[in-house]
Amino acid sequence: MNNDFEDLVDRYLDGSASSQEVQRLDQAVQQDPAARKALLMSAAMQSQLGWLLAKPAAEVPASPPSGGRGARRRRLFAAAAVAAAAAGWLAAILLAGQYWAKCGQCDAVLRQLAARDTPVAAAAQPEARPQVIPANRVVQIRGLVLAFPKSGEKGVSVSAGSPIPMETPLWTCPWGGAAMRFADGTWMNLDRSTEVQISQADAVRKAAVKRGILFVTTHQAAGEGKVVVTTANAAVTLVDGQAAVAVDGDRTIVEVAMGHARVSDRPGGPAVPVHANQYAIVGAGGKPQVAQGGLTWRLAPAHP
Amino acid sequence: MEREEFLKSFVREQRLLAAYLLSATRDPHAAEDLLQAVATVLWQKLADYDESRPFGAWAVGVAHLEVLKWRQQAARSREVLSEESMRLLSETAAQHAEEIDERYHFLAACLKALGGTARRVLEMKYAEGRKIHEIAGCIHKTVSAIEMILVRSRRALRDCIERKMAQAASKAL
Repeated sequence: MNNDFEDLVDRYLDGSASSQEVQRLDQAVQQDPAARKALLMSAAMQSQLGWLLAKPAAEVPASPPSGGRGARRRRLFAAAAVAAAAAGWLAAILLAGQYWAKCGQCDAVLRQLAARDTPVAAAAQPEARPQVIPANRVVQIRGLVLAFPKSGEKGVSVSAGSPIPMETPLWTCPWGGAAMRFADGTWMNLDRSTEVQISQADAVRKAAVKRGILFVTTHQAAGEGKVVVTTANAAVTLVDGQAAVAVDGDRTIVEVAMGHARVSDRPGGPAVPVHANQYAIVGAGGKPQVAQGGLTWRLAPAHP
Repeated sequence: MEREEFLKSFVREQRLLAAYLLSATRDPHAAEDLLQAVATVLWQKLADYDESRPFGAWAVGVAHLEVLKWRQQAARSREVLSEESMRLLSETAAQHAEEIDERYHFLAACLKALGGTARRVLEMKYAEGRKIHEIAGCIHKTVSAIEMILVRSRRALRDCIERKMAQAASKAL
């Protein structure tokens, strides 16, 4: 196979091939055994690259093999438990106040895990911290969450007892999610490779999901209780219950496990109710579409 | 087949299944979810497995059925291969199980020779699942520069694997 065909295969696997290119590939696959083999071997290489390059993560204690879709979904909702498995000895390595450069911070952690070495040297504290609200104090954390008080600079691992400054981007690594409990009783579980910004105003906790999946559990009796989760094209209000908000390309998927949520295409826009065991999909510029069942188990940005 | 033996067989064929599922879906997340679904179905249908047949061929057959189910949903929202292509790919996968495994070990060796930036870009793309523009922002290069690094790195890895395959074949003669 020539380079042009291999480039076409790579564009197909990347999802960047045009409709015409996919059709051309489809014809080649049907007509030419060599094209079939080339596609298969390229797919093999790309899936294997994910495994080989993420190899140190395999040394992190992991959950047992999933029993399927239901189990996957339960596992995501129980991310705190999963993260806790890795977090035990991870916590022994990661001391509060350890800093990493934003690019490669997960790699640094992985290298420590692989080598069981001492943590990387601490960098300077950020000079000024944005406003902190007491209710944004994390009282319990499982797993690793990196916070970036100043954009593009250094990150700090969030620890129990520490407040999260407003609008601070929070990241989880590709190899493990994390769970945080706030002073008002709200739990927020971040799936792997998730980025969220948390703030609070007028007794409403707000979380802006940039990528990945955020699971929120809130109880009205526990505090103010109301949580508004926003993405690029959706706003989700949860008063008392449990919901997952997933960013999937230009769609947002909201799945409610307990209670109910109100979903709209923008903050303050007309909202539709989504009840337990229902999910809503919000596409770019569209109204939320509600259906029975769940979808978020499909969206975990994980690698084998 | 007992549970332990099943797990060993499944782990052995995991690379083959992952390659087929990614080639058919072109979506790493869908491929991973389908791999879990296939594992569940294989375990549930283990009693139906004819042990005189290769486990890999049976597993790919089950994977193909799961791909067809996925295709019914996915074809509405994205461009996917035809059912016939997916069937032909499953047959090809079953025929090349050993080669896929062999290539995995050669790929591991070839990666060691890859330069720092290229390796970092591949890590961010395939291990961390980042998008091209995110990688570009992270390592301060343009999107087209990252695309070019990916194209060149994949070509270099393919060439390296082919060379090692040829060397292994000549030694075997």
